[in-house]
Amino acid sequence: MTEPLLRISDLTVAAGGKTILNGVNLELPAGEVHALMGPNGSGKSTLAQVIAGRSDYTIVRGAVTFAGRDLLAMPAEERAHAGLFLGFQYPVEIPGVNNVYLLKAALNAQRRARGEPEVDAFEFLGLVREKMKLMHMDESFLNRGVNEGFSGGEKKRNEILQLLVLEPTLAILDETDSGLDIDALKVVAEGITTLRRPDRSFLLVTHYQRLLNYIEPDRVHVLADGRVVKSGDRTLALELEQRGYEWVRAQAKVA
Amino acid sequence: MSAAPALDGLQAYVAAHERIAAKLPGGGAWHAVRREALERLLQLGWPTARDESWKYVPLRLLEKRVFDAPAPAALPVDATALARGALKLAGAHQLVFVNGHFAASLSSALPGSDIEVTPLELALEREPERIRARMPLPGDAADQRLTLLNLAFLAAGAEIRINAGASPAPLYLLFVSSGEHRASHPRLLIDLQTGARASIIEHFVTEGDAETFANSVTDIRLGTGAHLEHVVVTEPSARGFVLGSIEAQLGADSRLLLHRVLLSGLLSRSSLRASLEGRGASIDANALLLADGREHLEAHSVICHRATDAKSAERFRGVAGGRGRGVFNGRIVVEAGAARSESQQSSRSLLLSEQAEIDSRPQLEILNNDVKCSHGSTTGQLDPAMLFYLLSRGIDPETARALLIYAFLDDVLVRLELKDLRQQLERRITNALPNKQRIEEFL
Repeated sequence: MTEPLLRISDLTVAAGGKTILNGVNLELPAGEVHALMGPNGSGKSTLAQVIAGRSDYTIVRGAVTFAGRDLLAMPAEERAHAGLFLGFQYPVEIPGVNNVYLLKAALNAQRRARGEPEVDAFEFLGLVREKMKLMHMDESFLNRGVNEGFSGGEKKRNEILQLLVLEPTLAILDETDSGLDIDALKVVAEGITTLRRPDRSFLLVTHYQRLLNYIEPDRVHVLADGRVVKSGDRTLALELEQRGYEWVRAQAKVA
Repeated sequence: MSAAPALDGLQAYVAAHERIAAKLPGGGAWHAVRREALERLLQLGWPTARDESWKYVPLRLLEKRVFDAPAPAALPVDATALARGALKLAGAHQLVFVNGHFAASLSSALPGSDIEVTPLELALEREPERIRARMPLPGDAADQRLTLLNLAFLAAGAEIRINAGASPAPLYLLFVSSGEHRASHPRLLIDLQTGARASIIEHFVTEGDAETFANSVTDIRLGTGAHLEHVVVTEPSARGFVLGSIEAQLGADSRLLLHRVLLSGLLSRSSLRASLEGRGASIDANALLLADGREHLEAHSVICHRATDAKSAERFRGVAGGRGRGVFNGRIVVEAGAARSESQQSSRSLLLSEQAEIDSRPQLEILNNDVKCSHGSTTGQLDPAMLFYLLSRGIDPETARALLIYAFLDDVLVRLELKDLRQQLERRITNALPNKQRIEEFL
C-alpha cells in the first residue's frame, strides 16, 4: 500500500484545559477529495487549524504526517512551503497589507523554500489576472488590503484565488461554501475543480452537502464529539442531509 | 510645595530674556507683550505632573537642562546634510527656518500672488500692531504654558496668507534646530481666506545630533469653505526636544485635515487645540507615533464643537518598542449649542517590548443630545489571527511581524492626500522598523 498524503493518527487536542479533538484517525490518499462533515462544535475547524499549524492548541497525543513528514514538528510557514494550504472559514482582514503583494510574497517564499526561482512582478501579474478572471474578481482587488472591506463571498473567492496561485498539494478548505449564494458557490466549485490532479488532495470541511453537488468527494468522514465516528462514500453525505447528525452520533454510541 | 523647583527650571529663561529682549523686533509695544507673557509664565510656573495633559511628560528632562537663548538670526548650517534629511516634494515651495529664522539662501523663491509669506521678524517691524492683534495672550491652561514661553521670546517664524479661492503648490517648511543647547521659539501664523485650498508641511529636524529645544506654535485660521491639509513631522535627534502647539479656528464649511507624525526625540510632544467655530466645519486629526530606545513621544488634542453640523474624526496609532514611551490624550467637547455634531475617535496602540509603554486617553465630553459620537481604544500586541494568516501562507514570522507593524501605522498614512509625502513617510517608517529589508517587497 502506498503511504497516504495525509495521515492523522489518534490526534487528541486541547485548548483552555478542554479536550476538543479526542483521538481523530483519518487517511487522505494523494489525488482524492474527502469531505469532513459534522455538527457545529464537533471540532472540524480546530482540526483544520491544527493541521495548518495554529500554535494556540495543545497536542495531547497522536501524530499527523504529510507526505511522510512529521507535520506537527513543523512551524506553520514550513507547512505552507511543503505544499499545505488552509482556506479559512473566516479570512482575517489585514488593512495596510496589499492583497496581491502578499500573494506574490507568499508564492515566492514557497518557491524559495523549494529551491525554485522566484517569479518577477510582470510574470506574476499575468498569472494573477488570469486566475482572477476565473474567480470572477475585478481588477480593484489588486490594490486593496488583504480582505479589507470584502463581503463574505468576496473573502471566500479571495481564498480560492490564493489556492489557484499557490497550487498546493493539499488544500484544506474550511467551510468555504458557507455564506455563499448559489452563483458564488458555482464559481468557487469550478475554481477547485480546475485544480484536481492525481497528485493533489482536498479536504473539504463543510456543514452541509451543498458543495458536494458540485465537487464529488471520494470519501466522506463524520466528525462528532472530537473524533471521526463514521466514514463512507458520497452517499453518506446525502444520508446525513436526510437523517441529521444525531443519527450517526447515536450509531457511534451503540458501537 | 513643588512650586519652587518648577520656578528654578524657568530661571534660565528669565536670564536669557534679560540678555536679549532689547534686541528683539517689534518696538516698545512688543517688548511689553513679551515681558507680560514671561511674567504670567513665572506666576503660573511650569506645568507639573498634577496637570492632566502633562502627567506623563518627564519634565525634569526639560527643567534640568539650560537651553541658551535663541540666536538673533539664522545660523549657517551644512546645506548638504540638510538636503539629505529633507523631504523631497515635487513642485512644493521649500522654506527653511534655522532656529525659527527664515533662511532665504536655503529656500526656494517666495511664492507669487496666490500666497503671501512674510518672515515674522519683518512682519513685526512693519506692522507690530496688526501682528499683536492677531495673537491674543494665551489662557492659563497648563497646555498653554509653552505658548506663553513662545510669546515671551517671539521673534521668528512666518506669516502665511493664502488668498481667497487660491490653490497654490504645497508649502514645505523645514525647521532646523542648530547648535548645542539652543532653544528656538518659532511661530507660524496661517490664514486661509474664503475658499482657499492649501497643503502645508512642517518638518522639525536637528542639525547633527545636537541637544536642542524647539518650542513651536502654529496658529491656523480657516475662512469659509477653506481646505487645509496640514502635516507636522517631528524628527529631531535622539537627544532633541520638540514641543509643538497648534491652535486652529475653523470657519463655516471649512475643513482641516491634520496629520501629526512623531518619529523621534528624547521628548517630542504635539498639542492641538482646535475650535470648530463655523457651521459645517470639519476636522480630521490623525496622529501617529513610533517610539523606540528611550524616546518619549506624545500627541495631545482638544477639539471643541462650537457650531452646528460640525464633524470631527480623530485617529491615533502608536507603536512603542525598547524602553520607548508614548502618550495619546484626546478630548472632544461638544458644546450645548452644537446640534447635529458628528464625532469619532479611535486610538490603537501596539507594544513591541516588555519595557515599552503607551498611555491612551480618548475622551468625549458631550453637552448636547443631538450628536452621533463613537470612540474606542485598544492597546496590545500584534493580532494573533493576522499573524497566523500570514504564516499559513508561508511568510516567515519575522517578516510577518514587521509587516503587521508597518500596516498598523500605515493605516494613518494612507489618509494623506499628498501622495509623494505619503511614500516618503512610509519609507522613513520602514527604515525605523526592525527587519526593514524583509518587508520591502510589500511596498
